[in-house]
Amino acid sequence: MPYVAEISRTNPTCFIILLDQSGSMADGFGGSEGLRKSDFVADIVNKTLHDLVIRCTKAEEIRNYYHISIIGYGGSVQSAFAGALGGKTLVPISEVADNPARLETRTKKVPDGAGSLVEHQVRFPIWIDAGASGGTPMCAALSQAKVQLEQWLSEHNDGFPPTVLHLTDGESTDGDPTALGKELLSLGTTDGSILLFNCHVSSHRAAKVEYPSGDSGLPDQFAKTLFGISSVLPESFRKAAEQTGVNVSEGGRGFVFNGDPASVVQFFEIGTRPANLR
Amino acid sequence: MIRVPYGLRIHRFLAPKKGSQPGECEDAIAFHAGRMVFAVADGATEAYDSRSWARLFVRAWVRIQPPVFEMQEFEPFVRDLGRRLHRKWSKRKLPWYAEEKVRGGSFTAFVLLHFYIAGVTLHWKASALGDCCLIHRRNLTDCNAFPITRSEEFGSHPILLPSIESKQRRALDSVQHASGAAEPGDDFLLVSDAVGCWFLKQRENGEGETTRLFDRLTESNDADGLQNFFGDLRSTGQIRNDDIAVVRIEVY
Repeated sequence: MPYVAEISRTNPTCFIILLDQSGSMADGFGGSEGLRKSDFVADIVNKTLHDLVIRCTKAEEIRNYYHISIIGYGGSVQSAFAGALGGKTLVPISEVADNPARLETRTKKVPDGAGSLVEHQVRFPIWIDAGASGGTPMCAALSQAKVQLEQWLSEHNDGFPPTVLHLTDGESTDGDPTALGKELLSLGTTDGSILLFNCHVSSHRAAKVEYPSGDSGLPDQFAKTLFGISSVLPESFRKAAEQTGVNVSEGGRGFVFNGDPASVVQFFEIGTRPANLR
Repeated sequence: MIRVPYGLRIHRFLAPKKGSQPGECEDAIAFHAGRMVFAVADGATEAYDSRSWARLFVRAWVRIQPPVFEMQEFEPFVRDLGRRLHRKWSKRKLPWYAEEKVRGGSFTAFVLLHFYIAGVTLHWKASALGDCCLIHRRNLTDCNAFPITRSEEFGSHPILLPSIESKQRRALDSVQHASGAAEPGDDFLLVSDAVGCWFLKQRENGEGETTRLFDRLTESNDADGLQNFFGDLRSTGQIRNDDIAVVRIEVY
Protein backbone atom coordinates (compact mmCIF):
# COMPACT_ATOMS: atom_id res chain seq x y z
CA MET A 1 0.00 0.00 0.00
CA PRO A 2 1.61 3.31 -1.03
CA TYR A 3 1.98 6.50 1.03
CA VAL A 4 2.42 4.75 4.36
CA ALA A 5 6.17 5.20 4.90
CA GLU A 6 7.07 6.73 8.24
CA ILE A 7 8.62 10.16 8.04
CA SER A 8 11.61 10.33 10.34
CA ARG A 9 15.00 11.99 10.55
CA THR A 10 16.58 8.99 8.87
CA ASN A 11 13.76 8.80 6.35
CA PRO A 12 12.63 12.36 5.62
CA THR A 13 10.29 13.54 2.91
CA CYS A 14 10.49 16.61 0.73
CA PHE A 15 8.24 19.48 -0.32
CA ILE A 16 8.80 21.52 -3.43
CA ILE A 17 6.66 24.62 -3.79
CA LEU A 18 6.35 25.96 -7.32
CA LEU A 19 5.17 29.54 -7.31
CA ASP A 20 3.95 31.50 -10.28
CA GLN A 21 5.50 34.98 -9.86
CA SER A 22 4.48 36.30 -13.27
CA GLY A 23 3.34 39.89 -13.82
CA SER A 24 -0.35 39.01 -13.51
CA MET A 25 0.21 37.93 -9.90
CA ALA A 26 0.22 41.67 -9.11
CA ASP A 27 -3.54 41.77 -9.85
CA GLY A 28 -6.09 41.98 -7.06
CA PHE A 29 -7.37 38.89 -5.29
CA GLY A 30 -10.56 37.93 -3.55
CA GLY A 31 -12.45 41.06 -4.59
CA SER A 32 -10.17 43.29 -2.57
CA GLU A 33 -8.47 46.14 -4.38
CA GLY A 34 -5.65 46.32 -1.89
CA LEU A 35 -4.82 42.61 -1.84
CA ARG A 36 -2.49 41.39 -4.58
CA LYS A 37 -2.32 37.71 -5.43
CA SER A 38 1.46 37.74 -5.08
CA ASP A 39 1.30 39.25 -1.58
CA PHE A 40 -1.37 36.85 -0.43
CA VAL A 41 0.42 33.80 -1.80
CA ALA A 42 3.78 34.85 -0.34
CA ASP A 43 2.11 35.26 3.03
CA ILE A 44 0.52 31.81 2.83
CA VAL A 45 3.80 30.20 1.80
CA ASN A 46 5.56 31.85 4.75
CA LYS A 47 2.77 30.62 7.03
CA THR A 48 3.09 27.13 5.55
CA LEU A 49 6.85 27.06 6.19
CA HIS A 50 6.20 28.37 9.70
CA ASP A 51 3.76 25.51 10.34
CA LEU A 52 6.13 22.90 8.93
CA VAL A 53 8.89 24.16 11.21
CA ILE A 54 6.58 24.12 14.23
CA ARG A 55 5.57 20.56 13.41
CA CYS A 56 9.23 19.51 13.50
CA THR A 57 9.98 21.38 16.73
CA LYS A 58 10.46 19.11 19.71
CA ALA A 59 11.97 21.11 22.53
CA GLU A 60 14.57 23.55 21.27
CA GLU A 61 15.54 21.12 18.59
CA ILE A 62 14.19 20.88 15.08
CA ARG A 63 13.99 17.38 13.67
CA ASN A 64 14.77 17.17 9.99
CA TYR A 65 11.63 15.40 8.84
CA TYR A 66 11.40 17.60 5.74
CA HIS A 67 13.57 19.10 3.02
CA ILE A 68 12.17 22.18 1.33
CA SER A 69 12.57 23.88 -2.02
CA ILE A 70 10.68 26.90 -3.26
CA ILE A 71 10.93 27.65 -6.94
CA GLY A 72 9.57 30.98 -8.11
CA TYR A 73 8.91 31.45 -11.81
CA GLY A 74 8.14 34.62 -13.73
CA GLY A 75 10.83 36.94 -15.07
CA SER A 76 13.22 34.13 -14.11
CA VAL A 77 13.09 30.65 -12.63
CA GLN A 78 14.97 30.42 -9.36
CA SER A 79 14.89 29.61 -5.70
CA ALA A 80 12.40 31.99 -4.08
CA PHE A 81 14.13 31.92 -0.71
CA ALA A 82 15.29 35.37 0.38
CA GLY A 83 18.08 36.18 2.83
CA ALA A 84 20.66 33.63 3.86
CA LEU A 85 18.87 30.81 2.05
CA GLY A 86 18.77 32.76 -1.25
CA GLY A 87 19.57 30.45 -4.16
CA LYS A 88 19.40 27.31 -2.04
CA THR A 89 17.33 24.25 -2.83
CA LEU A 90 16.24 21.18 -0.87
CA VAL A 91 17.02 22.82 2.42
CA PRO A 92 16.63 20.72 5.61
CA ILE A 93 13.81 22.12 7.75
CA SER A 94 16.19 22.93 10.65
CA GLU A 95 18.17 25.21 8.32
CA VAL A 96 14.92 26.79 7.15
CA ALA A 97 13.93 27.38 10.79
CA ASP A 98 17.18 29.06 11.70
CA ASN A 99 17.45 31.23 8.59
CA PRO A 100 14.38 33.29 7.86
CA ALA A 101 15.20 36.41 5.86
CA ARG A 102 13.75 38.43 8.74
CA LEU A 103 11.40 38.17 11.70
CA GLU A 104 8.38 40.46 11.70
CA THR A 105 6.23 41.21 14.70
CA ARG A 106 2.59 40.34 14.25
CA THR A 107 -0.48 40.29 16.43
CA LYS A 108 -2.09 36.93 16.99
CA LYS A 109 -5.36 36.22 18.75
CA VAL A 110 -5.17 33.28 21.10
CA PRO A 111 -7.75 31.76 23.46
CA ASP A 112 -7.40 33.01 27.03
CA GLY A 113 -8.89 29.83 28.46
CA ALA A 114 -12.01 31.64 29.64
CA GLY A 115 -13.76 31.61 26.29
CA SER A 116 -12.33 34.86 24.97
CA LEU A 117 -9.47 35.78 22.69
CA VAL A 118 -6.54 37.90 23.70
CA GLU A 119 -3.98 39.53 21.45
CA HIS A 120 -0.37 38.43 21.61
CA GLN A 121 2.62 39.91 19.86
CA VAL A 122 4.43 37.08 18.09
CA ARG A 123 7.53 36.83 15.97
CA PHE A 124 6.62 35.82 12.43
CA PRO A 125 9.39 34.62 10.12
CA ILE A 126 9.59 35.69 6.49
CA TRP A 127 11.42 33.46 4.04
CA ILE A 128 10.02 34.65 0.74
CA ASP A 129 8.90 38.00 -0.58
CA ALA A 130 6.15 38.59 -3.09
CA GLY A 131 7.22 38.62 -6.72
CA ALA A 132 5.28 39.56 -9.86
CA SER A 133 7.08 40.08 -13.16
CA GLY A 134 7.44 38.58 -16.62
CA GLY A 135 5.62 35.65 -18.19
CA THR A 136 4.63 32.22 -16.94
CA PRO A 137 7.49 29.82 -17.73
CA MET A 138 5.72 26.84 -16.19
CA CYS A 139 7.65 24.24 -18.20
CA ALA A 140 11.00 25.67 -17.10
CA ALA A 141 9.81 25.56 -13.49
CA LEU A 142 8.63 21.96 -13.81
CA SER A 143 11.98 21.07 -15.40
CA GLN A 144 13.84 22.56 -12.47
CA ALA A 145 11.58 20.70 -10.05
CA LYS A 146 12.32 17.48 -11.91
CA VAL A 147 16.09 18.00 -11.62
CA GLN A 148 15.76 18.59 -7.89
CA LEU A 149 13.46 15.62 -7.41
CA GLU A 150 15.80 13.28 -9.25
CA GLN A 151 18.67 14.45 -7.08
CA TRP A 152 16.68 14.03 -3.88
CA LEU A 153 15.23 10.65 -4.85
CA SER A 154 18.70 9.26 -5.59
CA GLU A 155 19.44 9.66 -1.88
CA HIS A 156 16.00 8.92 -0.40
CA ASN A 157 14.50 6.07 -2.31
CA ASP A 158 12.49 4.48 0.52
CA GLY A 159 10.89 7.48 2.13
CA PHE A 160 7.48 9.05 1.90
CA PRO A 161 7.32 10.40 -1.68
CA PRO A 162 8.01 14.10 -2.25
CA THR A 163 5.09 16.48 -2.62
CA VAL A 164 5.11 19.25 -5.22
CA LEU A 165 2.68 22.08 -4.56
CA HIS A 166 2.22 24.20 -7.66
CA LEU A 167 0.35 27.48 -7.63
CA THR A 168 -0.36 29.50 -10.77
CA ASP A 169 -2.79 32.12 -12.01
CA GLY A 170 -2.47 31.54 -15.72
CA GLU A 171 -1.49 29.40 -18.62
CA SER A 172 2.06 28.44 -19.37
CA THR A 173 3.90 30.80 -21.72
CA ASP A 174 6.70 28.38 -22.56
CA GLY A 175 4.76 25.42 -23.88
CA ASP A 176 2.40 22.65 -22.85
CA PRO A 177 3.33 21.42 -19.35
CA THR A 178 1.63 18.03 -19.84
CA ALA A 179 4.69 16.00 -20.81
CA LEU A 180 6.85 17.46 -18.03
CA GLY A 181 4.08 16.99 -15.51
CA LYS A 182 3.76 13.34 -16.51
CA GLU A 183 7.53 12.93 -16.21
CA LEU A 184 7.36 14.26 -12.67
CA LEU A 185 4.50 11.92 -11.86
CA SER A 186 6.53 8.97 -13.11
CA LEU A 187 9.13 9.60 -10.39
CA GLY A 188 8.76 8.21 -6.92
CA THR A 189 10.08 6.12 -4.06
CA THR A 190 9.34 2.56 -3.03
CA ASP A 191 6.39 4.05 -1.13
CA GLY A 192 4.69 5.56 -4.17
CA SER A 193 4.86 8.12 -6.94
CA ILE A 194 5.62 11.71 -6.18
CA LEU A 195 2.57 13.83 -5.43
CA LEU A 196 1.93 16.79 -7.71
CA PHE A 197 -0.87 19.07 -6.61
CA ASN A 198 -1.93 22.08 -8.68
CA CYS A 199 -3.80 25.16 -7.54
CA HIS A 200 -4.98 27.72 -10.09
CA VAL A 201 -6.09 31.05 -8.67
CA SER A 202 -8.23 33.66 -10.35
CA SER A 203 -8.67 37.38 -9.86
CA HIS A 204 -12.16 37.14 -11.28
CA ARG A 205 -15.28 35.86 -9.67
CA ALA A 206 -15.58 32.49 -11.38
CA ALA A 207 -16.98 29.21 -10.20
CA LYS A 208 -14.21 27.37 -8.42
CA VAL A 209 -13.58 23.67 -8.74
CA GLU A 210 -11.89 21.89 -5.83
CA TYR A 211 -10.41 18.39 -5.74
CA PRO A 212 -12.50 16.87 -8.55
CA SER A 213 -12.25 13.19 -9.43
CA GLY A 214 -13.01 13.75 -13.12
CA ASP A 215 -12.45 16.49 -15.69
CA SER A 216 -15.92 16.58 -17.21
CA GLY A 217 -17.01 19.64 -15.23
CA LEU A 218 -13.88 21.65 -15.95
CA PRO A 219 -14.40 24.86 -17.93
CA ASP A 220 -11.59 24.72 -20.51
CA GLN A 221 -8.58 22.86 -21.89
CA PHE A 222 -6.12 24.63 -19.55
CA ALA A 223 -8.06 23.37 -16.56
CA LYS A 224 -8.06 19.87 -18.05
CA THR A 225 -4.31 20.09 -18.63
CA LEU A 226 -3.65 20.91 -14.97
CA PHE A 227 -6.12 18.23 -13.86
CA GLY A 228 -4.26 15.72 -16.03
CA ILE A 229 -1.00 16.35 -14.18
CA SER A 230 -2.49 16.33 -10.68
CA SER A 231 -2.12 13.34 -8.35
CA VAL A 232 -5.01 11.55 -6.72
CA LEU A 233 -5.06 12.56 -3.05
CA PRO A 234 -3.89 9.65 -0.84
CA GLU A 235 -6.14 8.79 2.07
CA SER A 236 -4.16 10.67 4.72
CA PHE A 237 -4.44 13.85 2.63
CA ARG A 238 -8.17 13.29 2.15
CA LYS A 239 -8.50 13.06 5.93
CA ALA A 240 -6.54 16.30 6.26
CA ALA A 241 -8.95 17.85 3.75
CA GLU A 242 -11.90 16.73 5.87
CA GLN A 243 -10.34 18.41 8.88
CA THR A 244 -10.17 21.69 6.99
CA GLY A 245 -13.82 21.33 6.04
CA VAL A 246 -13.33 20.08 2.48
CA ASN A 247 -14.91 16.77 1.51
CA VAL A 248 -12.88 14.99 -1.13
CA SER A 249 -14.36 11.91 -2.72
CA GLU A 250 -12.20 8.84 -3.30
CA GLY A 251 -10.24 9.45 -6.48
CA GLY A 252 -10.35 13.20 -5.92
CA ARG A 253 -7.23 14.91 -7.23
CA GLY A 254 -5.02 17.53 -5.65
CA PHE A 255 -6.33 20.18 -8.00
CA VAL A 256 -8.09 23.49 -7.56
CA PHE A 257 -9.29 25.71 -10.40
CA ASN A 258 -10.36 29.34 -10.08
CA GLY A 259 -9.38 29.20 -6.41
CA ASP A 260 -10.08 32.11 -4.10
CA PRO A 261 -8.03 33.09 -1.03
CA ALA A 262 -9.72 30.43 1.12
CA SER A 263 -8.87 27.80 -1.49
CA VAL A 264 -5.21 28.76 -1.36
CA VAL A 265 -5.09 28.47 2.42
CA GLN A 266 -6.75 25.05 2.30
CA PHE A 267 -4.57 23.89 -0.59
CA PHE A 268 -1.37 24.45 1.39
CA GLU A 269 -2.86 22.99 4.56
CA ILE A 270 -4.02 19.84 2.82
CA GLY A 271 -0.91 19.47 0.67
CA THR A 272 1.51 19.57 3.57
CA ARG A 273 -0.20 16.99 5.76
CA PRO A 274 1.34 13.60 5.00
CA ALA A 275 0.84 11.40 8.06
CA ASN A 276 3.23 9.09 9.90
CA LEU A 277 5.62 11.59 11.47
CA ARG A 278 7.95 9.69 13.77
CA MET B 1 13.29 -7.19 40.08
CA ILE B 2 12.23 -5.31 43.18
CA ARG B 3 10.53 -7.08 46.11
CA VAL B 4 8.11 -5.14 48.27
CA PRO B 5 5.77 -6.07 51.11
CA TYR B 6 2.31 -7.40 50.27
CA GLY B 7 3.63 -9.72 47.61
CA LEU B 8 4.17 -7.59 44.51
CA ARG B 9 6.76 -8.38 41.89
CA ILE B 10 7.53 -5.39 39.72
CA HIS B 11 9.00 -5.41 36.23
CA ARG B 12 9.54 -2.47 33.93
CA PHE B 13 10.59 -1.78 30.37
CA LEU B 14 10.98 1.57 28.64
CA ALA B 15 12.29 2.06 25.12
CA PRO B 16 12.13 4.75 22.45
CA LYS B 17 10.66 4.24 19.04
CA LYS B 18 12.96 2.86 16.36
CA GLY B 19 15.18 5.64 15.05
CA SER B 20 15.16 7.61 18.32
CA GLN B 21 17.64 7.76 21.14
CA PRO B 22 16.75 6.74 24.73
CA GLY B 23 16.97 10.42 25.71
CA GLU B 24 14.22 11.18 23.20
CA CYS B 25 11.69 8.71 24.59
CA GLU B 26 8.46 10.57 25.38
CA ASP B 27 6.98 7.74 27.41
CA ALA B 28 7.74 7.85 31.12
CA ILE B 29 7.58 5.40 33.99
CA ALA B 30 7.75 5.99 37.73
CA PHE B 31 6.84 3.93 40.75
CA HIS B 32 7.41 3.77 44.47
CA ALA B 33 7.45 0.15 45.51
CA GLY B 34 7.03 0.85 49.22
CA ARG B 35 3.96 3.00 48.69
CA MET B 36 2.70 0.68 45.96
CA VAL B 37 2.12 3.48 43.46
CA PHE B 38 2.82 3.09 39.76
CA ALA B 39 2.54 5.52 36.86
CA VAL B 40 3.00 5.45 33.10
CA ALA B 41 2.67 8.50 30.89
CA ASP B 42 2.94 9.08 27.17
CA GLY B 43 3.89 12.59 26.10
CA ALA B 44 2.27 13.80 22.87
CA THR B 45 4.82 13.72 20.06
CA GLU B 46 3.38 16.79 18.33
CA ALA B 47 3.58 19.02 21.40
CA TYR B 48 6.48 20.95 22.93
CA ASP B 49 8.90 19.11 25.22
CA SER B 50 6.40 16.40 26.04
CA ARG B 51 9.13 14.18 27.40
CA SER B 52 9.66 16.65 30.23
CA TRP B 53 5.94 16.94 30.93
CA ALA B 54 5.39 13.16 31.00
CA ARG B 55 8.42 12.57 33.23
CA LEU B 56 7.63 15.43 35.57
CA PHE B 57 4.05 14.23 35.95
CA VAL B 58 4.75 10.57 36.79
CA ARG B 59 7.69 11.35 39.07
CA ALA B 60 5.75 13.93 41.03
CA TRP B 61 2.66 11.73 41.29
CA VAL B 62 4.44 8.73 42.82
CA ARG B 63 6.10 11.03 45.38
CA ILE B 64 2.84 12.39 46.79
CA GLN B 65 1.71 10.74 49.97
CA PRO B 66 -1.09 9.73 50.05
CA PRO B 67 -1.55 9.40 46.27
CA VAL B 68 -3.99 11.90 44.76
CA PHE B 69 -6.97 10.71 42.74
CA GLU B 70 -9.85 13.01 43.63
CA MET B 71 -10.41 16.12 41.54
CA GLN B 72 -10.06 18.55 44.45
CA GLU B 73 -6.52 17.28 45.07
CA PHE B 74 -5.61 16.31 41.55
CA GLU B 75 -6.43 19.67 39.99
CA PRO B 76 -4.07 21.77 42.15
CA PHE B 77 -1.45 19.06 41.78
CA VAL B 78 -1.38 19.25 37.97
CA ARG B 79 -1.78 23.03 38.02
CA ASP B 80 1.39 23.38 40.07
CA LEU B 81 3.27 20.96 37.85
CA GLY B 82 2.22 22.82 34.72
CA ARG B 83 3.31 26.12 36.23
CA ARG B 84 6.64 24.61 37.19
CA LEU B 85 7.26 23.40 33.66
CA HIS B 86 6.28 26.70 32.04
CA ARG B 87 8.47 28.59 34.53
CA LYS B 88 11.39 26.42 33.50
CA TRP B 89 10.77 27.19 29.83
CA SER B 90 10.30 30.91 30.46
CA LYS B 91 13.78 31.19 31.94
CA ARG B 92 15.34 30.27 28.64
CA LYS B 93 15.94 32.51 25.67
CA LEU B 94 14.10 30.53 23.03
CA PRO B 95 14.32 30.68 19.25
CA TRP B 96 11.14 31.87 17.52
CA TYR B 97 9.89 28.36 16.78
CA ALA B 98 10.31 27.14 20.35
CA GLU B 99 8.68 30.32 21.64
CA GLU B 100 5.74 29.64 19.35
CA LYS B 101 5.48 25.99 20.32
CA VAL B 102 5.68 26.75 24.05
CA ARG B 103 2.48 28.75 23.68
CA GLY B 104 0.69 25.49 22.83
CA GLY B 105 2.22 23.75 25.84
CA SER B 106 2.74 20.04 26.39
CA PHE B 107 0.30 17.18 26.60
CA THR B 108 0.47 13.71 28.05
CA ALA B 109 -1.69 10.63 28.47
CA PHE B 110 -1.35 8.75 31.72
CA VAL B 111 -2.44 5.77 33.77
CA LEU B 112 -1.93 5.65 37.54
CA LEU B 113 -2.29 2.69 39.89
CA HIS B 114 -2.24 2.41 43.65
CA PHE B 115 -2.51 -0.74 45.79
CA TYR B 116 -3.59 -0.58 49.41
CA ILE B 117 -4.54 -3.00 52.13
CA ALA B 118 -8.00 -2.81 53.68
CA GLY B 119 -8.59 -5.44 56.31
CA VAL B 120 -6.86 -8.47 54.90
CA THR B 121 -7.60 -7.65 51.27
CA LEU B 122 -5.35 -6.04 48.73
CA HIS B 123 -7.28 -3.39 46.80
CA TRP B 124 -6.33 -1.36 43.77
CA LYS B 125 -7.41 2.00 42.49
CA ALA B 126 -6.57 3.51 39.09
CA SER B 127 -7.01 6.70 37.10
CA ALA B 128 -6.35 7.24 33.44
CA LEU B 129 -6.60 9.89 30.76
CA GLY B 130 -5.98 9.27 27.09
CA ASP B 131 -4.68 6.06 25.63
CA CYS B 132 -2.35 4.72 28.30
CA CYS B 133 -3.87 1.53 29.55
CA LEU B 134 -4.21 -0.71 32.61
CA ILE B 135 -4.64 -4.39 31.85
CA HIS B 136 -5.67 -6.56 34.80
CA ARG B 137 -5.31 -10.29 34.33
CA ARG B 138 -6.32 -13.01 36.75
CA ASN B 139 -4.10 -16.10 36.48
CA LEU B 140 -3.07 -14.69 33.09
CA THR B 141 -6.40 -15.71 31.59
CA ASP B 142 -9.31 -13.39 32.48
CA CYS B 143 -8.44 -9.98 31.22
CA ASN B 144 -9.92 -6.54 31.83
CA ALA B 145 -8.54 -3.41 30.27
CA PHE B 146 -9.08 0.18 31.37
CA PRO B 147 -9.88 2.81 30.15
CA ILE B 148 -9.59 1.39 26.63
CA THR B 149 -11.11 -2.04 26.26
CA ARG B 150 -10.72 -2.89 22.56
CA SER B 151 -7.75 -2.55 20.20
CA GLU B 152 -9.77 -0.59 17.64
CA GLU B 153 -10.29 2.18 20.19
CA PHE B 154 -6.63 3.16 19.85
CA GLY B 155 -5.58 5.54 17.12
CA SER B 156 -8.19 8.21 17.66
CA HIS B 157 -7.30 11.58 19.14
CA PRO B 158 -7.72 11.09 22.88
CA ILE B 159 -8.08 13.89 25.40
CA LEU B 160 -4.68 14.46 27.02
CA LEU B 161 -3.47 16.32 30.07
CA PRO B 162 -2.24 19.80 29.05
CA SER B 163 0.55 21.63 30.81
CA ILE B 164 -1.28 24.93 30.26
CA GLU B 165 -3.36 25.69 33.32
CA SER B 166 -6.29 27.23 31.47
CA LYS B 167 -6.78 24.03 29.47
CA GLN B 168 -6.48 21.58 32.34
CA ARG B 169 -9.92 21.68 33.90
CA ARG B 170 -11.67 20.49 30.77
CA ALA B 171 -9.21 17.61 30.37
CA LEU B 172 -9.47 16.61 34.01
CA ASP B 173 -13.23 16.22 33.63
CA SER B 174 -12.43 13.31 31.31
CA VAL B 175 -10.18 11.42 33.73
CA GLN B 176 -11.60 7.95 34.32
CA HIS B 177 -11.37 5.90 37.47
CA ALA B 178 -11.51 2.20 38.26
CA SER B 179 -10.97 0.09 41.34
CA GLY B 180 -11.19 -3.46 42.55
CA ALA B 181 -9.69 -6.17 44.70
CA ALA B 182 -6.52 -8.05 43.84
CA GLU B 183 -5.63 -11.65 44.58
CA PRO B 184 -2.47 -13.71 44.42
CA GLY B 185 -2.04 -14.71 40.79
CA ASP B 186 -3.32 -11.35 39.54
CA ASP B 187 -1.20 -9.48 37.11
CA PHE B 188 -1.37 -5.75 36.29
CA LEU B 189 0.13 -4.17 33.20
CA LEU B 190 0.47 -0.42 32.84
CA VAL B 191 1.30 0.31 29.24
CA SER B 192 1.46 3.13 26.72
CA ASP B 193 -0.69 2.98 23.61
CA ALA B 194 1.40 0.94 21.18
CA VAL B 195 1.79 -1.98 23.59
CA GLY B 196 -1.80 -1.66 24.79
CA CYS B 197 -3.11 -1.87 21.23
CA TRP B 198 -0.89 -4.84 20.37
CA PHE B 199 -1.73 -6.69 23.58
CA LEU B 200 -5.49 -6.30 23.24
CA LYS B 201 -5.35 -7.33 19.60
CA GLN B 202 -3.56 -10.51 20.62
CA ARG B 203 -6.27 -11.26 23.14
CA GLU B 204 -9.03 -10.54 20.65
CA ASN B 205 -7.46 -12.85 18.10
CA GLY B 206 -6.84 -15.58 20.65
CA GLU B 207 -3.14 -15.54 19.89
CA GLY B 208 -1.57 -16.53 23.18
CA GLU B 209 1.89 -17.67 22.14
CA THR B 210 3.32 -14.19 21.61
CA THR B 211 1.89 -12.82 24.83
CA ARG B 212 3.32 -15.81 26.72
CA LEU B 213 6.74 -14.92 25.31
CA PHE B 214 6.16 -11.31 26.37
CA ASP B 215 5.26 -12.55 29.87
CA ARG B 216 8.39 -14.70 30.10
CA LEU B 217 10.62 -11.84 28.95
CA THR B 218 9.12 -9.37 31.42
CA GLU B 219 9.26 -11.90 34.27
CA SER B 220 12.96 -12.42 33.64
CA ASN B 221 13.53 -8.65 33.24
CA ASP B 222 15.22 -9.44 29.95
CA ALA B 223 15.63 -5.92 28.52
CA ASP B 224 17.60 -7.10 25.50
CA GLY B 225 15.07 -9.85 24.88
CA LEU B 226 12.21 -7.34 25.07
CA GLN B 227 14.06 -4.96 22.78
CA ASN B 228 14.41 -7.72 20.20
CA PHE B 229 10.85 -8.89 20.81
CA PHE B 230 9.38 -5.45 20.07
CA GLY B 231 11.86 -4.98 17.22
CA ASP B 232 10.45 -8.12 15.59
CA LEU B 233 6.88 -6.98 16.16
CA ARG B 234 7.70 -3.63 14.54
CA SER B 235 9.42 -5.15 11.56
CA THR B 236 6.43 -7.42 10.91
CA GLY B 237 3.99 -4.56 11.34
CA GLN B 238 2.33 -6.10 14.41
CA ILE B 239 3.04 -3.07 16.54
CA ARG B 240 3.28 0.60 15.63
CA ASN B 241 6.72 2.19 15.72
CA ASP B 242 6.20 4.17 18.89
CA ASP B 243 7.81 4.57 22.28
CA ILE B 244 7.16 1.67 24.62
CA ALA B 245 6.45 1.79 28.34
CA VAL B 246 5.55 -1.29 30.35
CA VAL B 247 5.19 -1.69 34.10
CA ARG B 248 4.10 -5.16 35.12
CA ILE B 249 3.06 -5.97 38.68
CA GLU B 250 2.53 -9.58 39.69
CA VAL B 251 0.58 -10.18 42.88
CA TYR B 252 1.68 -13.23 44.85
